Amino acid sequence: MLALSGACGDPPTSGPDAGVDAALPLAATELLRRISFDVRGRPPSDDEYARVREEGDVAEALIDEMLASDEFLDQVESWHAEVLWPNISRYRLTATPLAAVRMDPQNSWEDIGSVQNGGGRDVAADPILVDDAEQRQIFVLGFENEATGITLRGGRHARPGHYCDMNPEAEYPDPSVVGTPANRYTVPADVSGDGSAYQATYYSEDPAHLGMVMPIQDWRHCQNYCFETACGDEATIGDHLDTDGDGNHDCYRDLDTPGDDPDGRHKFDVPGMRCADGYQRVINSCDWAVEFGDSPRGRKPARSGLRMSVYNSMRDGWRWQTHYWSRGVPIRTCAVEAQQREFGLIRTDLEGEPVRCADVRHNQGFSNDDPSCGCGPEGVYCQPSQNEYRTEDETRTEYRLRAAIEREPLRIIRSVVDRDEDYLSILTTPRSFVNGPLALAWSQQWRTLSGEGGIQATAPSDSDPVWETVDYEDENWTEYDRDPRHSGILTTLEFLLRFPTARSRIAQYRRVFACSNEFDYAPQPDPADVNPDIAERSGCASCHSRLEGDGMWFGRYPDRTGLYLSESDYPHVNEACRYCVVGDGDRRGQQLHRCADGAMNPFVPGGVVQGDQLLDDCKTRYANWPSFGDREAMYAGHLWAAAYRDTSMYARMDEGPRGMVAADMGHGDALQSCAAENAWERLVRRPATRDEIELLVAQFEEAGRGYRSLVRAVLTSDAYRSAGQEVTP
Amino acid sequence: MRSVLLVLSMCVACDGLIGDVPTTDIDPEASGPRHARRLSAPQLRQALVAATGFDYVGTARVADPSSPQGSIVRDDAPLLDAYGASLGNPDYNYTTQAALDASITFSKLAEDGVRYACRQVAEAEVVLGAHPSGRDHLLLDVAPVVSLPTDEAAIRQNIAALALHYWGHEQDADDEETSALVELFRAGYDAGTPAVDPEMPEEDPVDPVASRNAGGWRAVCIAMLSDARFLTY
Repeated sequence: MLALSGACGDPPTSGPDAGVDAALPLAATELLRRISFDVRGRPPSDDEYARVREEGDVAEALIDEMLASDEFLDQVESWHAEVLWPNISRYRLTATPLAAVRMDPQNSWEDIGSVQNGGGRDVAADPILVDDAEQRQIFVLGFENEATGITLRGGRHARPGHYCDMNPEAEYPDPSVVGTPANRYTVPADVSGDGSAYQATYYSEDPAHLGMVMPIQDWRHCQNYCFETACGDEATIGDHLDTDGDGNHDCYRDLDTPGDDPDGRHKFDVPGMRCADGYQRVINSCDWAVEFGDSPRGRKPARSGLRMSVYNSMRDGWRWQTHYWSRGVPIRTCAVEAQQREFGLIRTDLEGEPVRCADVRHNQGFSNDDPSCGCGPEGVYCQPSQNEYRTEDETRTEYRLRAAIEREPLRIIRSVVDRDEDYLSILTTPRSFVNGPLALAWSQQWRTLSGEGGIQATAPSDSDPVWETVDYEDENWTEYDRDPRHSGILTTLEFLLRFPTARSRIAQYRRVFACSNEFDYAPQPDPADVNPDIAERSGCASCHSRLEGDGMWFGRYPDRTGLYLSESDYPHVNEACRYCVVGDGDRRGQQLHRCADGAMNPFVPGGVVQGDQLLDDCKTRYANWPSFGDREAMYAGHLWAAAYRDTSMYARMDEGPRGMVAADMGHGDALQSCAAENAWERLVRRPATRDEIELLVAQFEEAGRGYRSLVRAVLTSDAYRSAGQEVTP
Repeated sequence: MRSVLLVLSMCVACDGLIGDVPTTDIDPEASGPRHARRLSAPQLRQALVAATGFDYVGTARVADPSSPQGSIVRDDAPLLDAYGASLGNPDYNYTTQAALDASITFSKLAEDGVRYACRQVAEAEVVLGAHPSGRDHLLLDVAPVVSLPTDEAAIRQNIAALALHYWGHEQDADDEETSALVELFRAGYDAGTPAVDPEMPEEDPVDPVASRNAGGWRAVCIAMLSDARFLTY
């Protein structure tokens, strides 16, 4: 066991260290060994020992050679990892997750992990399916959360046979005959949830629908019935008329009544479904009227209409499809998931335009979005996933994306050091890098990325041509410039997730880049003080009076997300949200229903809320309280970071972390001193004195704050070159 | 300057203060020595490979994102990587800094690695006469059959060269510490058993002196690589 000697107590009386003065300069060859380990992480070569023996010293030229090596840059990354703590495995950030599943002969499903391991530890589907041709024939990929029929394939109404691999391979339309009767293709379908098998036949008369398998005809089944016109007025018919005892109402038929077309075709209105002759389409009890809004006549249903149903029963079959991660190998994929559409067929935006599939947030519940999207071209909106969070159980795609996110800030630091740029620009540069997984994530996947706790992310820029040029399998890093809002490592996804709140971001920034310990200790809070503003509360205020104000620099980077709230989309004050909290000012309880879809709200265009986004934003991005006093009422509808803060500080949110760094650099030399202090302490292994730091900072500034120069200055200091305190076994 | 430093360093008390002189006003050169720390796990692995040409390998489960389970069992796994967490590598979740304090775990695993690598390099260079990697000899500066009865001076020179190679320490071939290592070589030589390889053709037997020398060099290698001057910097 190693033990320190030569510190306090009796000096060693025997052994090689006896009589060595710790402050005396180290022998040149031993100094070479020390420098080599520090700078390159390895011992010197025999040639370097010979060179030093010949020259009698470790010449600065030799030090410069070491500092110019890639090994030094590796060390720089390693040192800074202890600052950035690159581990975001807890979030399990993935695009829409896929699982590899099969139905066993007893009609219960098994995933590839449970089969491979006899119900034990999970395995990753992607390497198995790519590398094992036999397994490829057995398992099929489907949405992880819905692969077993939980929602997309019928929920509690589903029967095991509904799962896609229990059905035949789905046909493909022939693009060359679009619009002709010859272009007919079928997919298995179950129209009513009773287990009856049908063949749904599609005609690709509209190129936009080519390849469509989504409109499994009863996607809105529970809301849509065909009512027999001979039955008279629907409203007068009893609810349970069933004279033939078949369990169904006599006057209603399922929507997809066969033979309703002169040519014997099925016609669908999702899109295009219609009832058979003699029937009319009606809306049944699934009409929704659960959201209430205010109107001049009082409370009434805000809107009525069709609610997306979780009731589905489908037999979509499967297809062979290559995915971005499958290295060209076709993988059996459920036909719904295998769709490669860029625009959905079901959802439309507020202007009635089709929604881009990249914007559909599958993780919110795919069935409630737009199943016609599938996994998109080459499956880019999806990702093989694991149920377990343990790092070693990640799929290959999950691992590569996580590792890339964790490495990005270190790669930024490496580039700044390598180019001998101002070291502090690691906190401000918009420059960054992508490898294959990160380029795909930013170019196509970021809207579908989601993780533990609903973590989401915003891409660093709207687009970048560099992202399109990097192959997914490429592990090399390619440079590009992020949007100007970016601020070095501070706005990387790794930093935002690893330090998930504005408070923790500020605290870590000050701790490691300003060498401040101001947030490390706190007095006991006074339990009698219930001031809602933590910046003023007794005890808490010692840290939070600073944390809350400084946290505003990260005000547009919401806590526990990797999102960025742009100035254009998220003003400091959202009057529509404010109206939903304080209303006309005579209440002290929030009224968020004023922001729900269909509600009347004078602060939105047209006076009626359209869609769910406003309510989501008001609940999560803008200040609101279930009940509140006068002070809270002042801040209702303000961005959360601004709650209780002075309006003079709101500009911080727009300036972002760049503004914070600029402000710090404009007041004193805390950042420069801290950089010097950190380098000194890492290499000399003790805190520097004031004089040592002043000298080092002066050298650092003189050299343009290049990190190599800073390290060189430490390596050539007498303190570093002293014999030091030895450790003996 | 040297004498001033010496005087100041002698004034260093156990509490770190230096006489009546405020710490912040002292000469930077005299403000305290650099503290030695043990090698980190990656450094130890690099140092062992540089010293012997052999990585410490064995059977272990290692991370492999391309495998179905994200890890595989390898018979040639680099054990100082595989045991990295036990050797102080941070995971940046529960631990955020490399643990570089002395520990029983480090001593045990480091010594295992040293014994493994020294046995490999002695076998390769002394018994077989060549490093399998094709590298120059890392252990021997002398012929494998040079031994104590015939040429103690050469053995001493070799040990002095190893001190530089392993420790960066310029050591005299005749000094006391070299003598101690020579005696260790002698003990290893005496305890060594001539290797008998049943697979080896009779016309190409292992030289019995080289075989005994391997025991001597192995002992020297293990002693020097287990020394604090190798395991710390």
